[in-house]
Amino acid sequence: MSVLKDTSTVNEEDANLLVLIIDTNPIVWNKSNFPLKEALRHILVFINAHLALKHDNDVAIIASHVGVSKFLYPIPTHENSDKTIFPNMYQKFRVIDEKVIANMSALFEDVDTPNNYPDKASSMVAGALSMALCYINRITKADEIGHVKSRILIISVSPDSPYQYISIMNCIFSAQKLCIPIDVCKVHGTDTPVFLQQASHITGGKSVWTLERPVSVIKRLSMLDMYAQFVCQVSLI
Amino acid sequence: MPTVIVAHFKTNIYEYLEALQKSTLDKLYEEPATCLAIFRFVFSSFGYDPSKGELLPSLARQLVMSLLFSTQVMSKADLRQWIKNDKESMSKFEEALDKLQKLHIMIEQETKTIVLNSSFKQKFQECLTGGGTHQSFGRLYNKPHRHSQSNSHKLPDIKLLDEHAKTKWEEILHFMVGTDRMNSPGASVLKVVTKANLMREKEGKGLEITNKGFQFLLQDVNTQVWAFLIQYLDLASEMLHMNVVEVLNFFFMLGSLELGQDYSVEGLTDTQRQLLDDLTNYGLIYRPKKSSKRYYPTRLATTLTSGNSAIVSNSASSNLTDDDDSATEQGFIIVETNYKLYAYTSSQLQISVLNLFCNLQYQFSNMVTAEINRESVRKALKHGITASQIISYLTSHAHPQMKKRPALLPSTVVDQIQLWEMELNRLVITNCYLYKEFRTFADYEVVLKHANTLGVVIWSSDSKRMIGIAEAGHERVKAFIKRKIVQRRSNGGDTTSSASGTPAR
Repeated sequence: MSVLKDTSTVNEEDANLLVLIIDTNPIVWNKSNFPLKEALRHILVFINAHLALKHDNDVAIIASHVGVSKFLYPIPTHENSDKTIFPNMYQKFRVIDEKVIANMSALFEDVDTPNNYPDKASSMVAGALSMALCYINRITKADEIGHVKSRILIISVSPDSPYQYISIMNCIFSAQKLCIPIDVCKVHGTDTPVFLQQASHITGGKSVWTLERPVSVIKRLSMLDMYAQFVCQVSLI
Repeated sequence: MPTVIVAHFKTNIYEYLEALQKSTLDKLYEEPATCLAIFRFVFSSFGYDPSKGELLPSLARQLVMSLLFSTQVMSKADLRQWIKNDKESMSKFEEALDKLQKLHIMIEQETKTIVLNSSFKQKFQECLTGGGTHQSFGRLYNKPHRHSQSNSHKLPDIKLLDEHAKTKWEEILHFMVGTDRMNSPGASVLKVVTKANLMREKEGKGLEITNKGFQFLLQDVNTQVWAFLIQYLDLASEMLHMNVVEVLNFFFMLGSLELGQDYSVEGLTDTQRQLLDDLTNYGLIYRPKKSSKRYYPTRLATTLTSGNSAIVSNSASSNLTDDDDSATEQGFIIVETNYKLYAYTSSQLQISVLNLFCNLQYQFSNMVTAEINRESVRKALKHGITASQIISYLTSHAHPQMKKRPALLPSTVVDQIQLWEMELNRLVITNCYLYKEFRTFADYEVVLKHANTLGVVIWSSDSKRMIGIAEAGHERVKAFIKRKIVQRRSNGGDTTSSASGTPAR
């Protein structure tokens, strides 16, 4: 069976894997005064910042849509991706940014799945969480030295769906067992998300509710809170 | 017993940057690629002593990142509120802030506020958001390859680049170790090597390796390359009058390039074009022809700012395609608890390096057996290699099979190497002056008290009434005693109780 890796000792040589779950429910995003396009720009800069911290840092992005959740990055493609090098940007940043944008556009073009799903006000957070945990599990197993430390960040706008309660709780407990903190950033929405609050509390992550002034808040607050876990001995509260 | 001089590898890039002037640093921060490289790589060299430097780089990175996009004005007290309130965290915070200020990234202004260096802030933001027209991440060579159809010029693929890098770099290392090779590396290499004090002139017969050179051989490739580049920088700025900023910008840009991609030399300044020749000699760049308008960075260049792990994982993945056995470029040593060592390599260079601290026994077609014993380790220690360097060399080159044990190297071997090193350090010799034959205990005490206030006592014995005084304090204690004698003579009148210590060397 898998051995619980010692995640309490923090090493300078650790590679951090950040799995970002973005809630892309188009109906709820439309209602907020902070459009998804704008938020996506901030999120991409945040991803670049995370990758900039260390060479080994990696990221995975999952879109939690209405009725379905999909990986935006990394997606194994069979064709050789075109190798245009853009001299004004670091190659790794650019590749990831382009892929995320392309895959998200493809996701929004498919209108059948959301239309067929009955509960249009929520998004498939439970599905996205399970996919994230499986991905982290695969990466951790493949990494022999044990230097990959992972965490999950959920950017959520839609309210909780009561149908997903049990699934979300199962995911939370698995994350707790694997010592993966789940951080939550709720960008828009008037109600406090009970499930996600529980998620961050049980797994030891941070949660941020930003009910007013969402602009640029994702960038700043995420950066302030996110690495608290890893810099915890010294650290930023 | 000769004292062993341990040369620390102070040639790390952070200390070099620290020594630059503030205006130079400001100019350096005008390229986004440089900002990114410094953020990632230079910060890692903050804590030079690994036992103390943990998490200092992360803290520094976090501080910079937090200030990067904020529009508020922060004072030092504001920043301090983010830190946990215990002594250790506070001291680490102060240290990180201090180092950032030395690099002129954080500036403390007169109004007690702390701001990020404005050009660093702007350019790093550009780096993260992809804006600007700086073309700092390498200009592509846009023309199609003229020789792609003919077979006289093969397009360099990754294998060719790796081979080129390996040959060139090992040429330098072989030259240092002294194996007989046909070609010695070029003149610029010799200059750098002598300037870095890795080798020195032997009377009439060329160069021989120094203690620092031995330590250099045991380091990992990334540290070696950087040590070399920093010495080259010194040389370049002194003798060739190259612009340090441009050279550094080029180095940092190299670290962000893609392997296997060709880049154009247009847009490089004259200084940077001069660099290309030398860097080709070190194996960092490959050029199809001397006058070619494009260059290919090799793996040594692209992993320049990525730290060590990149080289290990890269070489592991490249070797998998070669149908090799499970020993990768990096890991080929197996150490047993009976002090026997098996190295799965046939590379002359690695065998020569092992010869520095092991006693080689047999060589087979793909393997070498050796033994670690007291004589071989002592030989290494006498050359100035420390036990920790030997242990870190063995750890970093350990065979993947070794990684399956709970502790990488057998603890018996590790402890014994350290004990052998401590054997050499058992005696420490200090020159001092011995004061003996104090007539009375009171005299002895007076002198001892005075010497203690001066802080020059090395040793004292109440029962024998002897004091050992450091060389620096000898004159003053002697003068003190003479004054006391004169005082006594003038006070007491009779000379019977006027004895005091006689200084003996």
